[in-house]
Amino acid sequence: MKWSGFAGFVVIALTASCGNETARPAAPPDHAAVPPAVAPVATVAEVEKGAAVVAPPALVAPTAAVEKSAAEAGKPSAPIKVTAQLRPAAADLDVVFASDATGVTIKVWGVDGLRVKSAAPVSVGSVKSGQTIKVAVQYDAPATESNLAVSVIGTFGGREQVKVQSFTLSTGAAKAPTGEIKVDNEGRRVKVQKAE
Amino acid sequence: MILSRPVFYSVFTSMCSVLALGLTPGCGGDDSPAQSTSSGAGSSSANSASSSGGSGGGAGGSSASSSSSAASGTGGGGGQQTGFHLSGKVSYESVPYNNALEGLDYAGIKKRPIRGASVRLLNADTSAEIAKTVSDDKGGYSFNYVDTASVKLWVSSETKVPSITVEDNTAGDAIYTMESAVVASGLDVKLNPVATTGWTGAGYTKARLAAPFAVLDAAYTAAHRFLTETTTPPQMPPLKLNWSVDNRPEDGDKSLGQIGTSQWDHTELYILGKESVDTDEFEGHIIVHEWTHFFQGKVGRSDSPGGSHNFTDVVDPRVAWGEGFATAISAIILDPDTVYADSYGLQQKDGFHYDLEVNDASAGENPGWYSERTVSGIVFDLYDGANEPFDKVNIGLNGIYTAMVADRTTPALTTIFSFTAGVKAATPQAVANINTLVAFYKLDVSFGLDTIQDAWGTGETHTGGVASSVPVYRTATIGSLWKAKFTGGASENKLTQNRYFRIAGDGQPITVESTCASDVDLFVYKLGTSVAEAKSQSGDEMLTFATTVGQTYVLVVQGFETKAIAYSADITFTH
Repeated sequence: MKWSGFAGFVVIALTASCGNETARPAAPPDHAAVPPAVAPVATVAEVEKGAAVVAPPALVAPTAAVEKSAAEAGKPSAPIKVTAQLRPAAADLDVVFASDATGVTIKVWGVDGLRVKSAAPVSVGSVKSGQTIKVAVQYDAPATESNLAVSVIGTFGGREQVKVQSFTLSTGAAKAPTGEIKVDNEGRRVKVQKAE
Repeated sequence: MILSRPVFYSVFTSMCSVLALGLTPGCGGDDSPAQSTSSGAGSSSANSASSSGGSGGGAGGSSASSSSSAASGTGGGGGQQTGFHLSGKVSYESVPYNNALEGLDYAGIKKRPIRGASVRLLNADTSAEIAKTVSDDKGGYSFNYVDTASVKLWVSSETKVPSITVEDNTAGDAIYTMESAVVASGLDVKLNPVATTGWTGAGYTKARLAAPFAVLDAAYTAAHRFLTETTTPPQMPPLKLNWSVDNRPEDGDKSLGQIGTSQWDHTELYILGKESVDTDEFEGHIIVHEWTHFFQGKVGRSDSPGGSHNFTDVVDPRVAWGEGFATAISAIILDPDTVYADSYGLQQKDGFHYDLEVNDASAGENPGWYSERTVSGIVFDLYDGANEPFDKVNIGLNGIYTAMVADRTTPALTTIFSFTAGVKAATPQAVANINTLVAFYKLDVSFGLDTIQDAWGTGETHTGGVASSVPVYRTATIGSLWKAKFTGGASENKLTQNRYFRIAGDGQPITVESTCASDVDLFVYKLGTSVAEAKSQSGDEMLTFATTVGQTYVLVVQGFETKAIAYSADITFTH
């Protein structure tokens, strides 16, 4: 793969928009009142304690075994979501924090020929959970497929953590694949690459 | 996910298996030291060959039917029937992580054997396969054959026992195969192909042959240790790993390399490989971590709902268990290398690392039963020697494996509670030391672990700062009403968004109903397998499930409120 080393760490504009900077409300009292909708109820005197329900709902047929939801779980990363609105020569990034963080640095760079036009990482002293940092990026994209990469590093809960995200700019053909696809004696596809 | 049961394979008994009739592949003890040199700076002599005893190349050696002639040619008389011999070692280059520099260190490239991999002998003129074998633990192989003037090798990124393949998900799932140089046949020819990194000083400008073999080796190492160090070895199901130079941290079409991150997707493993963005092929801890998700899910039991996570998050204890266990296993498998490292960025020059053996129960770590860092610390210290004041227990890999398998039958969800309770039951003599180890993670009244009494977390008092998170399980009875309390604004795999109930089956169908202003879902499990769920977009859910007398079921109430507000769901249990 041909690598073009453009170390452009840059940001044209930085806007910290604190979507929700308020502390989370305190939990409700343990002895919460039971909503009238579920009456008649005998008592709910204890912390979330179960009480007798007088009127059961109608039975429905037992459901068959179903597949448990199973979201994919990848390697650990900082609790951050990075999204981008990509244009031919610029992108608007939204970096959303799901936890409080300090010492945050956002770097943006290009690979496969994408050249980011300026070179300064964004540093933010502290961010709150729910806060969004907006980053505007300008670049020169090649005629072929390229990628814009973003890393966000910071201290979350006392530990340095990182999130890496990339975005594909499909402005042209993908680069030629390496290796030759053949079929082995067992009829399987193999990607043959010659040792040097 | 309903866990599929493993496909059963015979236990691997030899690193060398003869796969071609009439041939004699070398087995262990290869006497041909790999002399090919490999440059730490990128250039390498990857494919060295030498010959002694005269060349037998030539007459009669170019037939496309060499396989059959070879198979019948042992001991034959005349000409080439005296036989040719080709041997050597196959290896790959590995790039270490430099803890001081925080990134991959190409100056430190080392050559490692390609072990247990498929090695095929081909007629160089026709590419017809003559024979195949499996490399030994030192990467050694050898072939005796006849009637072929010149030959080459195909070394594929696959092992047979256990069945592991590394494929290119961006090239139609083709299996990576290294083709050696062509050598003339002779009485004692050596051929030592090396899968090189392709790094030439500033980038990967040549084929990245080493990467799939590095991925294979990490998975093979993990599987091999469990196969050889356990009293009842696991029956390993086949595993496919996907690696590509285009695999990048972007969600989308995996066949285009948009894999999101290195992950187990409950079917296959995907590993990042995008140069100057994020590559993981040389980071063994990450590969073994993801491999463990496969292993735990297929051989043990994983109840984790998955989702994003990090070391210090206060998460659903199923997530903490799955992720923490996987990290611990990576350190166990690669011990004495206990440093988890992850590089990224331009030229892979950025990264971070931490040593799993360094225990930390400080405030920033959020220690407790909901912390993957706490889980990994406990599991690793259960495994390793009695080497710290609070760590006087050592159950070894077999003890860890035994408890993991035993966890399959826990009626509770698989968490640090079920696992540790299982370890204590299996090793009663170590209970006091296990309690001491667990107590290390007790920080204050909110963060930590109490003495683990059973799989249900009975007696646990630490909330992790999450109101109403204890008791870990509420015991629901028929006719009861509960108020499950949550705090929104966090992803659905965090502790703030999950509450757990245990329900005793009585032979009759049980109906669970929720009423909530925010969206909540209901999930009922029997021994970790989903038996019913209700997951509309509202907070008003109802499900009914059949029960068996004596069987305990678990209800998970999961919240999805995106606003950082406190909310609650009324939960009823009726016939």
